[in-house]
Amino acid sequence: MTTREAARPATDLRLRPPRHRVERRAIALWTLRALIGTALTALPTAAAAITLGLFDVVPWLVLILWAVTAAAGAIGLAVTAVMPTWRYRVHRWEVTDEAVYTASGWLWQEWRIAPLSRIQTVDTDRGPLQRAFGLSSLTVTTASAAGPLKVDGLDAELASDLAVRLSEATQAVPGDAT
Amino acid sequence: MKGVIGMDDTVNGALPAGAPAGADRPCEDGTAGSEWRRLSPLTVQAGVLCITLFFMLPALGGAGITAFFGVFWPWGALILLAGLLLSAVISVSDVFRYRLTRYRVTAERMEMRSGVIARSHRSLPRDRIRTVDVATPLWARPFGLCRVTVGSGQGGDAGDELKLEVVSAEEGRRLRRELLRRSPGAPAAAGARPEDTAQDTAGEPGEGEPTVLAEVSPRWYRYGALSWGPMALGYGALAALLGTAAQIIGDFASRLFAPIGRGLYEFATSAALVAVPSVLLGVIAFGSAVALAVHVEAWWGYRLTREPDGTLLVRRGLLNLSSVSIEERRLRGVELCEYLPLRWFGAASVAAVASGLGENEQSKGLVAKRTLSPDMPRAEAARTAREVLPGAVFPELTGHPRTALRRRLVRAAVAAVLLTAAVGAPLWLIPFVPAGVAAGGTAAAAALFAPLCAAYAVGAYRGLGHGLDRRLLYLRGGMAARSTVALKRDAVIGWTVTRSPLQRRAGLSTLGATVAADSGVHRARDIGHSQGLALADEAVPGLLTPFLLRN
Repeated sequence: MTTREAARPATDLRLRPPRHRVERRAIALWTLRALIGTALTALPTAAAAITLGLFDVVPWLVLILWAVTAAAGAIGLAVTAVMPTWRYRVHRWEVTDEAVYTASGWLWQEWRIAPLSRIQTVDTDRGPLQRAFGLSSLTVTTASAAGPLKVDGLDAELASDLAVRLSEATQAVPGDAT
Repeated sequence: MKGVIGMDDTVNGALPAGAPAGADRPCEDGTAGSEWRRLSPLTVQAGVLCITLFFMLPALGGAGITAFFGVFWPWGALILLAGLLLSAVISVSDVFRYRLTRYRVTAERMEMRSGVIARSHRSLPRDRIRTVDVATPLWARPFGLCRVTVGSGQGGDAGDELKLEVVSAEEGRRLRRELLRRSPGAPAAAGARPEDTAQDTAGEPGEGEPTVLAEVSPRWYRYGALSWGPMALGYGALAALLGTAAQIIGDFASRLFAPIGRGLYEFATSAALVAVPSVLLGVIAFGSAVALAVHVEAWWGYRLTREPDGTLLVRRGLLNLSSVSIEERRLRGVELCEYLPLRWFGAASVAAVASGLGENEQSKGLVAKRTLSPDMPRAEAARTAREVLPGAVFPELTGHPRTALRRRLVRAAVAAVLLTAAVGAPLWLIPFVPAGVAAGGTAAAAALFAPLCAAYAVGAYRGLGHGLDRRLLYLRGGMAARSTVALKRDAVIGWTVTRSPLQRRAGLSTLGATVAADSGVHRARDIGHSQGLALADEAVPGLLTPFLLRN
C-alpha cells in the first residue's frame, strides 16, 4: 500500500468489463418484471377510465385517462423491449482474490469495486419470480453507507457458492472492516 | 441486539445512584464497573419541577384570566385540574422511567434496560462505540444534569444509540472518559492490551492536557446572520409571526378597525416608495437578529480540543450546552464547507468525515454532529482543518474537462428558458395584460435569468476539482454549497463509477470514493473518464489496476 506510481500515466484509461456475464435466463426475468411493472402503472388509470366510462360521466376526463394509460403502456412496452437485452450486455461481475467488481444498469451505468477485506456481509435473495427462473441475486455489504454491491440474475447455486466463498474470505480478515 | 435477556440479580437490589464501580468483576485496570447503575435521582425532581412549571403556569394564567373576566368559576377550576392531571401523569411516568432504567458498562459492552410497559434490553459492543455526546439542555442546567448519547452508527444506521436522560454532569464526564478510553493507535480487537501498544505513550489515557485546536473569536458571530441554519430559523420565525399576526388581524381587528386598516393601506400604497423598502429592511433586520441570536446561542464558548484519549471534542452553547466527542480513529477525513452567501465574505466552516455521527438523522437540531466549527474566516478554517487532520493542506486542485462546463451551460440554458417561461406564460395568458407589457416582461425575465444561470453554471464548473497528495485525496464540488473534502487515502474502501448516456458521449464519468463514514460516498462529478480512473488508481494503488485497460 505504500508504493506509489512514479508518474501519472498519460495513456487513455478505460475500465475493462468484469469477466463474467449473468445468466441468459435473466433476460426473461427482467422482461417479465418490466411487463408486470408496465401493467401495474397502466392499470389504475385504465380502471378509472373504464369505471368513469361505464357511468358516462365527464367524458373529457375519460379521454385524458385513456391517453395517460396509453402513454404509460407505450413507455413501459418500449422499456420492456429494450431494457432486458441492454441490461444483459452491461450486467457483469467478477470476484478476484482482492476485490469484488460489478457492472450494472443500462441507460445509467454503474461500475463498483470493493476490496474483499472491507466486506461485512454477503447475502443471497430469491424472490418468487427469481425462484421460478432458478435465479438469485447476491448482495455484498461494505462498511460504507453507500449501499451494497448487487449482482442480479445469478444462477441460484452459483450465488450461494459465491456467498459462502466470500464469507470465508471476509472472515479471514479480523476487525469490523471499517 | 435487542430483546430481553435473563434477569440479572443486581437489578433488584436498590442501588444508590452513581454507586462506585462494582467489586465483583473488576477489570484489569479497575475502572470499568460492571454493576447496573441508575439515572441520576435528580431526574425525578428536575422532571417534576419542569413539567409542573410547564403545565401549571399556563393553567394558572388561564384560570386567573377566567376569574378576572368573571367567567363561571368551574371553568377556571377545570383548567387548573387539567393542568394538575397532566403534570401528575407525566411525572408519574417519569418516576417509573427513572426506576426502571438501568445501565452498565462492562469490559466488552454497554448495556441498558428501559421501558415501562415494553421492556427493552439493548447492548452495544464497546469497540463499536464511535461517539459519546454530553448535552446539557437548559432545563437540566440548574440541577447539574446532562444527557448522554452513546452512538455506534454502524454503516450509517443512526438507530443504534443509547440515550441516558439524565445523569449527573460528573457521571457524564466519567462515561465519556471511560467509553472512549482507548489508545489512539490500538486496534479494538480483543486481547490488545493498552500496555502492548506502549509506543504511543502520548496517547496514554488520563495523562496530558487537551490541546486546543480552535477557539471562538467574538468576531465570528457576525457570520451567523448569513449562515443557512440560523437564517432559516430567523426568517421562519418571522414568517410564523407574520402569519399569526395576519390571522389575528383577520379574525378580530378587521371588523373593529376596518377604517384604520383602510387608512393604513391607503397610506402604504401612496407611500410605496418608502413603505416597501422600509418593510423589506424591517424583515431583513428581524430575520438577521433572530439568526444572529440563534447562532450565538449555538456557538457561544466554542472550543475544539484534542483530548489525551485520542478524541476530538467540540464544546459549545450558551444556554443549552453541548459537547460532542469524535474518536480520531474513526475520522476518515475532513471537509471544508464554503456555503454561498458567506463564501462571498470569505467565511468557511469545518466538518468531520467520520462514522457514527448519525448524519442521516435530520432532526438533530441546528448544528449537525459532524460540524467541527462555526463559520469563520477561511484561513482560520483551513488551519483548523489542518490541525484536525494533519497534512490536510488543501492544495491547488486540478479542474475537470471543459465538457463538464458545457454540460453545466446547457443545463443553465434549460433552466433559464424554464424560468422565463414560468414568468412569461402567465403574462401572455392573462387576457387583459397588453401584448407589449407581456413581451417586455418576458424579455426582462430572460435578461435577468440568463446571466444568473450562466454565472451559476460557470461557478459550478469552477467549483469542480480533485487532487492527491501523499496521504489525502481531495474532492471539491458544489456551487451554492461548495465543499472540499480531504479523505485519507487508506480510508477509501471502494470505488463507484457512474455514467449517464450523456456523460458517456462527453467522455465524462462521476467517480465516487466509498468511505466507511455516514456520508458513504464522496463524488467527483463530471470528471474525465480516464482522468478519474487514473486518480482512483493512484489514490489506492492496486485496487483498480487489474480492471483497467490502457491504450
